[in-house]
Amino acid sequence: MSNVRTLDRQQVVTDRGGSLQRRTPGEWVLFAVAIAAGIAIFAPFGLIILNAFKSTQDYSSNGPLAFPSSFSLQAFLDYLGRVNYGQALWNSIAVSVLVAAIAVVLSLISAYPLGIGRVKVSGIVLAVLLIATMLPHEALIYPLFYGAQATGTFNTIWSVVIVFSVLQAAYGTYLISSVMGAIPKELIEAAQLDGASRWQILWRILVPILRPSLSVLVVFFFIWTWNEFYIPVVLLSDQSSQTIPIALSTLRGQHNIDITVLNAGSLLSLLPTLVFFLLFQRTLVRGVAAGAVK
Amino acid sequence: MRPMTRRQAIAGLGALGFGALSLAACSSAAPSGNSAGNGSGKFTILQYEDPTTPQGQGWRKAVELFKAKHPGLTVDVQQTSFDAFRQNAKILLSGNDVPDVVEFNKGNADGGQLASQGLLQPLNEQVSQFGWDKKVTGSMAAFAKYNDDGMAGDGDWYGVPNVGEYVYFYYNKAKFAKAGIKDLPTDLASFEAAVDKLKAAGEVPISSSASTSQGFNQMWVWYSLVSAEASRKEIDDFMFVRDKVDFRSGAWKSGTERFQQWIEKGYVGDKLGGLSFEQATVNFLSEKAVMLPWNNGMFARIRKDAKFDWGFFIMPGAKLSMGSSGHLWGVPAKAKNKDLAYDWIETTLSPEVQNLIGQKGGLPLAGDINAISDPLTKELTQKFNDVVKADTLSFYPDYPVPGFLDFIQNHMQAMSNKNETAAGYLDALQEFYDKGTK
Repeated sequence: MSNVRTLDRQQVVTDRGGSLQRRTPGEWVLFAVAIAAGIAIFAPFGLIILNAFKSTQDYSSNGPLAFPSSFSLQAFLDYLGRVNYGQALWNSIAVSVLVAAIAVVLSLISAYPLGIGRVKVSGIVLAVLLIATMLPHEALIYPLFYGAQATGTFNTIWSVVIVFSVLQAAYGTYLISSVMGAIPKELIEAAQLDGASRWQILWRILVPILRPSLSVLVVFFFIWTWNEFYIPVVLLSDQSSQTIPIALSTLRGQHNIDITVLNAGSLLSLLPTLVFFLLFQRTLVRGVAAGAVK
Repeated sequence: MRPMTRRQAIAGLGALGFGALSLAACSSAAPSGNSAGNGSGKFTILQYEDPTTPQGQGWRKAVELFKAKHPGLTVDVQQTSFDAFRQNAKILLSGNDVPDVVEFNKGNADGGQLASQGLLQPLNEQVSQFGWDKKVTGSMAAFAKYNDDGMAGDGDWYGVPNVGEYVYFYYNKAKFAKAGIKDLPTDLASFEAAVDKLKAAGEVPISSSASTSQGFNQMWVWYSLVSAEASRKEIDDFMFVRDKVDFRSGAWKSGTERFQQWIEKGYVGDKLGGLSFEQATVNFLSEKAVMLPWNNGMFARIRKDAKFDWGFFIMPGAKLSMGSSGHLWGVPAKAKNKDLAYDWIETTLSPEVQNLIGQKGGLPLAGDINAISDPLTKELTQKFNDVVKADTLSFYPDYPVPGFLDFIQNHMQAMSNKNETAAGYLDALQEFYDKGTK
């Protein structure tokens, strides 16, 4: 199956390569729009990079859009001096990786009866799960806070790991069960005829088919959790357990902002997600495409 | 090849996850062990001052002194942000494991609510015992006291400020000279004449901002113009919700109308709706505008970054001008080490700490001005001490009603875009204020 698909893709690539010389006007327009969109998407990152390497004097006299008059790493040094970056980075990675891994497994297991099995109220269950993902976090914060205190996980990353594993898994369950619903029933019946147990059907038949969707969820869960702010800021008030977005927010005062330090900090905070994204970019695109075809 | 990489990726992720699991388990063991013995060995301070500011530097000194005084104690200084604390104070202080001493935001919407909900410890006894009311007096003490309804101005002491702040104009001396302004204006009329000269010379006289997020300059210009003509009673009625305030009369009306004129005459520049205070500051520092209305929080930055000769003056001829105490130290009602917390507050008010804050330009409430050797810092401090002594500070306009800041900012943006008149704003203000203070 995958061999065939690879061949197809190569075919497509060479086709596109061939048409490079003679583009139609329509294609040129599309090309221009794509470049414009690319610039628009890159602009904020460009601004961060531009201002992270400036001295504050330079920034103040020439504004945010000018090129640095001299190259300065002072903002980075100030940032590292004020925030325990290593600790925050470690916390963020631990939380995001754990949540991504736990939430995907949880989604898969809970989606199995809803998508494949015959649960009578599966529609209602899915609706409830969707509501859980749509609720504003402000509405959940009091119960979560008291829950974290009661379980002794307050001020440790475990509170956040548990909360987000469940919240992300609610969305994951919804998504995976609907993908499962689209899998031909014959496939499962055939497996049952061959004597496969429910456990075997899940791991031998469904997981390989779902793998693209599952890997997309891993990436999404990782990035979403990485960027979470509101719940972690309440549950993790101690510096030793803070994640990167929270550490970054401590740079903002009421009536003063150190813009170059904020930019340097943002850049350092953004790098890990960027690396992660580049590593899993293919998985991401392939998963989205696979989901679309099905 | 491709299925291989995919499998590798997932396997790698799994390994990473497992590694995180085991390591995080080790790292989380230490803090939870500590918090169990919170009653004796550990003292937690939660605050949100930037450690590079004068107050931040003073507090670092205070931590040193405090540690020397209590050798066996582990002092844990936690850093949060103004906004984070503003959002979470209520949740945080109602928990079981609260910090021993916290910095909290002054005003009815913040400190007032914490006090009225019983989350903070009343400090009357300690205030008289340590003599804090001798150091923190008059308008500087106004937002340290809250009544049962959480209204500032009277009632019990709940907080103790360390420093003060006030709003004034930073100005570009070279541009003043170039526009032919020889003497600093002494009243509102001569100030407007000077601004006209700057305008005639092709300058943007005042660097301002009115973005609903962080564009505070216009609000400060507006309130400064109201304060300039207001009596003490007019401001106190508004601020401490005493007698009924009629926004369609007196200083409120004339100040707001003058504000509209300033916008129409282009005194404050245009296209302010999208600018934040940071951008207004950059416009001043890059010499695109001549004056910047802001408080002493920007003093060190302007001193470091300005490439031109500059000075500062309070709104000329103003009866009252903007300013207040800094944020407050408070002791959570559930704190476990209250006596240590009182001692910490006393340490931050000690001469060593207060004079250090003063030398850095932080406007200490209990510092000795003669300990300051730098002339510019001394001038800054002297002007502040004068307005405190004359009791002419009018605080910040968003204190009286919860949600006021967003309301005012929205209207400041509308007025700056010329979508709203002074009369329209004052009508809305009357309604919002009356509803919020009922």
